[in-house]
Amino acid sequence: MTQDTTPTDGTRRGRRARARAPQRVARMVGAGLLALPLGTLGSIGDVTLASATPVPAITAQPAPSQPTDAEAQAAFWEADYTLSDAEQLATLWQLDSVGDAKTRAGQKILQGLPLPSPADLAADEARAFYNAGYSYWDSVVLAWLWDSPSPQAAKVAAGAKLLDRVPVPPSDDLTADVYAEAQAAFLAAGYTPEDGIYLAELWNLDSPGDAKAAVGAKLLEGIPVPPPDDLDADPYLEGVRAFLDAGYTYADAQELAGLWDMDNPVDTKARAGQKLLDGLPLPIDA
Amino acid sequence: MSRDQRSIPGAGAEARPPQGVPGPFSRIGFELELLAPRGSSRAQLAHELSERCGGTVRPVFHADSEPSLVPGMGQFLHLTRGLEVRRDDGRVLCTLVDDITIVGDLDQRAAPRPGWYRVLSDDRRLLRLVAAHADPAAPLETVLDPVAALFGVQVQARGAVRRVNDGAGATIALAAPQPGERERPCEVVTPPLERDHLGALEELLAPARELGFVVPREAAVHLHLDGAPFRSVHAFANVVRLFARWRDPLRRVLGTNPACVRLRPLPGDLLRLAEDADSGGRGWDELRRAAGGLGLTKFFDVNLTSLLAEAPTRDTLEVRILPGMIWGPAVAGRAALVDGLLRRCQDPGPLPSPPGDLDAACAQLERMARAGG
Repeated sequence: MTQDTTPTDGTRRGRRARARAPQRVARMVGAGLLALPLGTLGSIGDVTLASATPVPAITAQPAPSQPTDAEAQAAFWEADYTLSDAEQLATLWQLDSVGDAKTRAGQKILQGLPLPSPADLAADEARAFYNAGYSYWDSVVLAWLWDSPSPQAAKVAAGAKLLDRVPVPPSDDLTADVYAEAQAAFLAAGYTPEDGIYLAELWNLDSPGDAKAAVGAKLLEGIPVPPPDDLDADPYLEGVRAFLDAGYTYADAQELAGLWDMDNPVDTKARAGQKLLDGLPLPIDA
Repeated sequence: MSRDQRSIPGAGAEARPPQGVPGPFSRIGFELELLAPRGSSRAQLAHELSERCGGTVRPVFHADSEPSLVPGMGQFLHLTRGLEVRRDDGRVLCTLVDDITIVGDLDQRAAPRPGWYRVLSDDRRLLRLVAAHADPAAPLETVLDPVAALFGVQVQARGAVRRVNDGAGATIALAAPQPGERERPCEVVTPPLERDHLGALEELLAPARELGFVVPREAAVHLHLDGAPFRSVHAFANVVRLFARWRDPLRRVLGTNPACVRLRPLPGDLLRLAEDADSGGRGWDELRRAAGGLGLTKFFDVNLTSLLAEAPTRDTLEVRILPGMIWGPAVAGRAALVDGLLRRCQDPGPLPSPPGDLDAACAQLERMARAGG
């Protein structure tokens, strides 16, 4: 199971995060909330959050010309940032590569620009995480489950899910076990475990368990969701299923999306699956 | 990964150190209090665990006490059914036993389930005699037969209850069905774990999660660390300083469960005694004897009784303020923090006093743990 903190498709989460981050950076820079040394993060979550106070940004003389990537990365290390900091910045800036994050951060340092503090950027998500009853130790568990770069990154990812009303695996503190309850509601409504697998793919969730819990949570709240029978009959989903049943993966869908110039890998899966159902070949092998 | 494995998060996940949180270094035995789902029992987890490791399950007696309804008698002593799980090579994987502090999530009026009973007595020595002669695998109807034979009497039956009275009519022990879902509490007791604590914990906890076990309301996790390194004036004094002076930040960082009833702060007299001894006033033997007179029991934030005993049955220091948990990384992460702090306690330098601000104290505690580990 891998944690997808940098959605590259057109999912709601990815769009929302991309749309919001720059605004928030601008807002904070405008408000004078400058950078915090990133190395102080990732410790005992709420304790550190509670005691964190903004400190002046690390600044340097503006570089006379555009620095090379190597120069930028050197500046990043010289400013005492860590690999973990770079990973957090990559998450926050929605970059695929940690190296790109180091370069961008180093460029900002060389230009005398403040670096955003992940603690501030992720404040909404962190608040949602703690408000739901989770603790720092739960972020340790989630980081382990999702293979996140750090508990901090897992906390932000979990908070984003909670803000999107997607249930997160239960915490030790949440003995009522909302997650399991939602999963039970999913199965009780007549969905099958296979539906969970397809829905997880469809929605690009981390696991079928998350999909089951997401549908179940809606059912428990009385929010309408497609009944299981409709799920079977949905030609769009049928295409997605055919695609996955043929052994293709999310990465294949991304490759096809590139070939076909499509924005959304899920649409790509549906189109590719429909071709398979029609007996037509695909340009790539499973 | 199969669907069954993926249906529950973390099930079947390869054990690895949690990112950013190193596991503990020391040898640690864990006690983790869990609760079986309604209709299930700790026996189900025992069988699941034994199947997974190709091992065996053996019923054992677990001795504890329960409040007595008989006027003038504070508590009954009892034996209940525990399950010992061994690996195929005979090593103990874990023991699963009842924990009488777990009550809030149980239906106290539930009828007894077949096969679950307890053996009661009012005398520890008699109960040990019963435990030595009775077969923990025997059903209620015959469990007291060997005890009756020992006293040369017959087992008396009244309804479902079996009683053994000696020749003078004094009750030795009685066996009675166990109502109130007492088969659901499941304290997982591990042997001392030397390495890969997370992997070993997940071997026990992942199956529990899959079977629907949860963390009960009053749950705690207890850590047993080897006692020997703390049997010196400076180390003992530092442990007392840690759990007395740093009590609030420690409980906050660890997230101590406020519903745990068998916890108390260390007595102020013990702190004064330890400080005095560490500043050169007393040697270890003198400190040990003086501390022994302060009425310490195991029911404090930290159980120091073994350190003060002449010949302890289990030579450990027991930390009791971790909350209930069912996820390995949370357990291993907290254990690492405690381990780091206790390693710091072994340094000759006295543990400093915490800053007045709670946030600052928590942050300093974490730094000390990292330095110590």
